[in-house]
Amino acid sequence: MKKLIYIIPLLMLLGCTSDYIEEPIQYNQDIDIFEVQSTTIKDGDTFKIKFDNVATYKLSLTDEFTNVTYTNEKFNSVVGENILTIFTKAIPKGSFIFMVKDSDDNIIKKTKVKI
Amino acid sequence: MKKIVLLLVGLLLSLSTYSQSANLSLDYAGLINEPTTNETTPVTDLEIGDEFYLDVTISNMESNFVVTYADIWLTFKNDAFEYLGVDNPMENNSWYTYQWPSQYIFNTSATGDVDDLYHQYNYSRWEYVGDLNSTHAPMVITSQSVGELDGVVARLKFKYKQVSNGFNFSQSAMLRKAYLRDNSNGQTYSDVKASPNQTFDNVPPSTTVTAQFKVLFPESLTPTLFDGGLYKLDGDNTWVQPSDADYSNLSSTGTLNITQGFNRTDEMAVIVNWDGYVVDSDNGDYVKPFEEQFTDIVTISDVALAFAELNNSGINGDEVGNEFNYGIQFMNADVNQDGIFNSDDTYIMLSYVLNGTVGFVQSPEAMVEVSKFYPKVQYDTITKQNYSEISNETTLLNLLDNKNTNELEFLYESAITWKGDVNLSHSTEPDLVDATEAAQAKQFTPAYSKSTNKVEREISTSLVTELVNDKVVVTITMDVGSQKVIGTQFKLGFDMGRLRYDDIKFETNNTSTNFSNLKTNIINIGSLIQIQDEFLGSNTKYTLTFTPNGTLDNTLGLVTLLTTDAVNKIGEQLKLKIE
Repeated sequence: MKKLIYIIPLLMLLGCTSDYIEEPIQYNQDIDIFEVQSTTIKDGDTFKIKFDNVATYKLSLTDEFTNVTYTNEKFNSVVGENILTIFTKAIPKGSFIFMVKDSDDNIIKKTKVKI
Repeated sequence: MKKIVLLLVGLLLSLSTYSQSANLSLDYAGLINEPTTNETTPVTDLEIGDEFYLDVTISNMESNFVVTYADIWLTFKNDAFEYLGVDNPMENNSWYTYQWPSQYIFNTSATGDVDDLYHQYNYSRWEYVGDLNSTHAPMVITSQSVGELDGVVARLKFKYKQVSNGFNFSQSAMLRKAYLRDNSNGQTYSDVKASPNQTFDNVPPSTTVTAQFKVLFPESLTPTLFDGGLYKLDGDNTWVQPSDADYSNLSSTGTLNITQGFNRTDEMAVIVNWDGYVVDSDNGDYVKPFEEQFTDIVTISDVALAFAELNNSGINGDEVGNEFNYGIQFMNADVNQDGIFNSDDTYIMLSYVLNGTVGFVQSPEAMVEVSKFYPKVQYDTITKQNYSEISNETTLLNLLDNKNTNELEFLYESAITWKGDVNLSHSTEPDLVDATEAAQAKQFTPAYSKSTNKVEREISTSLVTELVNDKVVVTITMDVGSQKVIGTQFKLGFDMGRLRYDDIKFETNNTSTNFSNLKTNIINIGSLIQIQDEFLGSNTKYTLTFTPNGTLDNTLGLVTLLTTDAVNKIGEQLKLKIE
């Protein structure tokens, strides 16, 4: 009987603790987005890209499965860290290959992002 | 000791006096009017509408007593049966009988077995629950005979009613409780069991008829975005759902189980409609408007193909079918449904694309204005010669051929097609029965999704956004390769919370008709050339300008290319590879 007195409050305490829910890994904006293999991003997230030179690049979002490129952005880089924002409201949900291409359309950086 | 033995014997004797045993059984005994004399129709052959006997048999287990009084209570499912009364197979005997409406349930006594009819006679009770909550109608037969009640003592007469498929026939007639007595000796049978048969559970084969409906969707449509259900024509000439029929989304393969509520007597149809409900576990479910679907169905490819058919009427201008391969294409191209495909239709179709779809497809119930269904077997017989004899009405109805009473498994296949879907990109592909027509049609399949030479029919396009003088500028270019492109169409989505659409600049062939229209956050743009030997080349460029609602440092994701379409000079739909 004494044992039950100890066990029951313990069970009640355990019953009152919240369930552990695994959160999707969100992008840590302090690191270069291309230094991680896969990232979940949401509307308005900023990300960092490092470049060694000043040039015009193209950022592309291509559907991982259909290979359809939904959008490209042409931008001029600065040397060092470039802070950019991604807007997702007009993009269908899914898994995308996020690429940086040079002026000859060569892929120089690539990672996966989930929207 | 002797006294004790005598006492025990006396007790046993007295106990045996109070446990007179008899069995009662409920047994199928053939049709009331058998088609062949001296033959009994097997119970498994019983069908809806049949009138038949259920015999009540008393098996007296005692040699010293006879049953002269019987009070037997049963229930039957009056949704499935009509009780026609009781026949008396014995001379000098008559049965009192009465039945109550199915407003009661029989509460079996838990202290005895269900088949212990005497125990249930004493301890069970009826409970009034109303008609909705009870399917069992109580009935009683009572007899007080001058002779012995033994063997088949009563012949209950029932008739099967029409019931819907899947009706639960278990315990459709059942012995519930009984009281038997030997009045001449003043003995009550205290051990009355239901044996060997307490219930009658036969299921008429026709009520196990199954019916499956399937729409033969093309790959370009998602079947689960449509819903439907079984309907029957009622006395007011109105389509109503049978009481137990389902209405649900079609499966991912386009099927719908219509067994529930199906029968072989009523006029029946399946109604298929747009649902548009999209399950999105990440961002919450939403409804895709029918208009959005329809703008993918009728595009610049359809318009160009329709113009091509009209323009290619041969050297004498009197030929038809040089571009269209199927009769259903003429029917779909006749968008004003006046029975003739002509330039009036092509300009209505062009206006769909140039100005956006007309008002009707914005309604939640818009699908009926543009959808058409045909039984697949009929669809495959539609040719360029006979199409004018076939109804071209838009509808949601799929009429069913359901009157064959020898059939148990009904499978309906329906073709879906659309007003304006001239290239059949979102329609069931016909599989023509006519061999000559089929051979001609297979030489050319207009819709890209159904083409075999996919790579040859690809051209590439690209959308690039950039910030220019605090404006967001979007440039769409294309590389047509060796294709002679006469039509293009692009659907763009943009973030209307951050951008306001300003204008578009077309850099196209001078002879092209260019169009753009804006609907909330979707912009529909494109070009069409109707002059022979004029094409849209790789220098074609569309430049759109947006004003940001606030300060922006970059534009990634603000404008996206949602769908595209292109068509070449022979009316073939092309795939735009988006880079």
